[in-house]
Amino acid sequence: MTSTNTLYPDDLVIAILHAVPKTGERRVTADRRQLHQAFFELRGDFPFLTTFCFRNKGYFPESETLDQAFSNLEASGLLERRNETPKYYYVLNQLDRSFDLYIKKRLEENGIAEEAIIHAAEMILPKLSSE
Amino acid sequence: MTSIQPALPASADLASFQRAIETFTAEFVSCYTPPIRWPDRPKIIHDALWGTIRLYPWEVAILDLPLVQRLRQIRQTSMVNYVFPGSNHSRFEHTLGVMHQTQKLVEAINGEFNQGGDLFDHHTLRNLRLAALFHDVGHGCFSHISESIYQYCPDMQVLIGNEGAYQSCNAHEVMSAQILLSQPVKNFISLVNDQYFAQYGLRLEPERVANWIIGKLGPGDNDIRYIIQVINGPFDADKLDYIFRDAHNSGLPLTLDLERLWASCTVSNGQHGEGKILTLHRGSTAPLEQILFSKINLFSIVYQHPKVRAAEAMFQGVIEYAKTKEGGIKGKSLEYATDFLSITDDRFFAAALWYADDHPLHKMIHDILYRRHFVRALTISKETIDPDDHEPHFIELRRLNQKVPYSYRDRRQCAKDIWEAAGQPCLLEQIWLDLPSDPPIGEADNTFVSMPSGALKCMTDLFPVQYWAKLYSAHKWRGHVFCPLQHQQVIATAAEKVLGERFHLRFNPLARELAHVPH
Repeated sequence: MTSTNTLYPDDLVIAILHAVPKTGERRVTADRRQLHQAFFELRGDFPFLTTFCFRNKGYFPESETLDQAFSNLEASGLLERRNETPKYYYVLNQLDRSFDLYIKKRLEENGIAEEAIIHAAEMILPKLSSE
Repeated sequence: MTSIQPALPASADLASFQRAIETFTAEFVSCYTPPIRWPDRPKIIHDALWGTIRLYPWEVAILDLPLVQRLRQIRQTSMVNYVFPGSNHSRFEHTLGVMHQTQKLVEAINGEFNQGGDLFDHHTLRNLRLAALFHDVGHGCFSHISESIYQYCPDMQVLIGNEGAYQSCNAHEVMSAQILLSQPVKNFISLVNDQYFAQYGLRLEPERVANWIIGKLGPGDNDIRYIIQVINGPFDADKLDYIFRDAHNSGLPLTLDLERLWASCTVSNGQHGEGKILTLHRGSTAPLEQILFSKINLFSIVYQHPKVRAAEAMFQGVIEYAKTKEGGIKGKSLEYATDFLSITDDRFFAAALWYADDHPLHKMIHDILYRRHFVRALTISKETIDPDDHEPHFIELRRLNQKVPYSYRDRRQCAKDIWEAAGQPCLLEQIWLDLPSDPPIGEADNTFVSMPSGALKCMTDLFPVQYWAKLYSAHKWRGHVFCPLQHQQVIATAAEKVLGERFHLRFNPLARELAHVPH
């Protein structure tokens, strides 16, 4: 038996964060405003990102699904936050393992080319810059 | 103020949804005979939590509608009362409490601004109180538990899905807004306006209030964002009542300094074109921190208590059985979100009487009623899984807690595999894989604090309270497999095997120990 082939929002976050360069500190901002804004802005360009449903009730578009995905990744040991003020998500090697073991195949099965993910990551990651 | 009609897509599905709402409101509003003598004086209701709550005469008339009285039959905290016996309060009590908190917030802000005239005029306040009265009329039986089912019904997805006019809104809020926009309700409110205009100059505006309930800014509403935030914002009247009321009735001693919160509320000009917004004074942010921590505590201690989750799984089991094997319940197919409006808590339990004593639905409903609840067969958490296996496999299981339409199907498939591996010892609807979602914590990111210089700072920039809350919540997380007591051991063994193989995980002895599975 294998786990389900359905592509979850969590899988897309793994795929995008897998593209964080492996040189230097692999981290992205944990600032919700920045995170949600970045994913929201690129939904029009990448149809697969419409899996994140956004609500425009507050001062910035917020997606409960995106919040849950980051929370799940952190709780599963693929991301971590450090320091007393955990302003960043650090990408751990386990995230790459998860990508290689499950997500890569699942993206293919769902008709999403790896190039498309890399393209999306190239556009999203600069917006998640921790500097 | 101008009246703004919410923009709704014209589609057949939406039309049938609205027709179903009209049918419902026809029963719960139109069939109500207006009083021979309309209430002509204010009324005082004594609330166990807030004490005296004053109602205007027209609010007494609205409160008497079967549509609002129906909320007496819907428990605020679903099945929590089976674990915390005091938690028996209804959506009706909560509705009155939200009206009271609305009044308090508005009075506090007007008190602050009284030098330059009231920010909230009496017309706005009356409409905000109407929003409070109607904000939960869309709830079905056991509040959020039925909502967790009907939010994925196709008619609701048309509205709250990606292309919907109410994208990502809470399903019950959409239902409440649509009820308010239905013709029978609008007719009644028009009658109320006519009745009280001469004496009070009353002008209730259902279209505008419907937008407030879902937190939607209509065109031109940017200037009045602070008004909407009283009823749908980071520290809105709804939150102030439910956190206090749920904690109080559950016996959870939480601290929430409401006096200080009211005193620290103010309205400021947003700095990025948001118009006027509700803000807090610098130095008075503690009440918001208390709100966040109280909310997290309520989730981890009360709402997500394993016994509460088990009872809720039983409710889902009844709905699934009724839908798939009986064509519905009480004449409703349960295929549509609006079907759930007809079932209140008492009607749900009464449904048992429709079936013979040995009918599975009769037994399943009575098992909930008489607290013969499911037990845990397996506990799923970071500490119950072999650390070598934890990463990177655990995410494959954990992600099934996402609130997306297909996660229910995937969890049910896991439960089915467990049931089959155990030799089908009971009904499939009695085996549940439960993976709770996190409580939403966006309040701090949406609260601005006015600094002595007059500048506004986001609460998060001053103090990252949401990180604490999130971490606390993440480390408290537990998933479970639930089943009837008599099958606990066989299901525990099957669950370990099925989940282990499917997700490449090895459960340690704590997985059974925490679930109280005997050796």
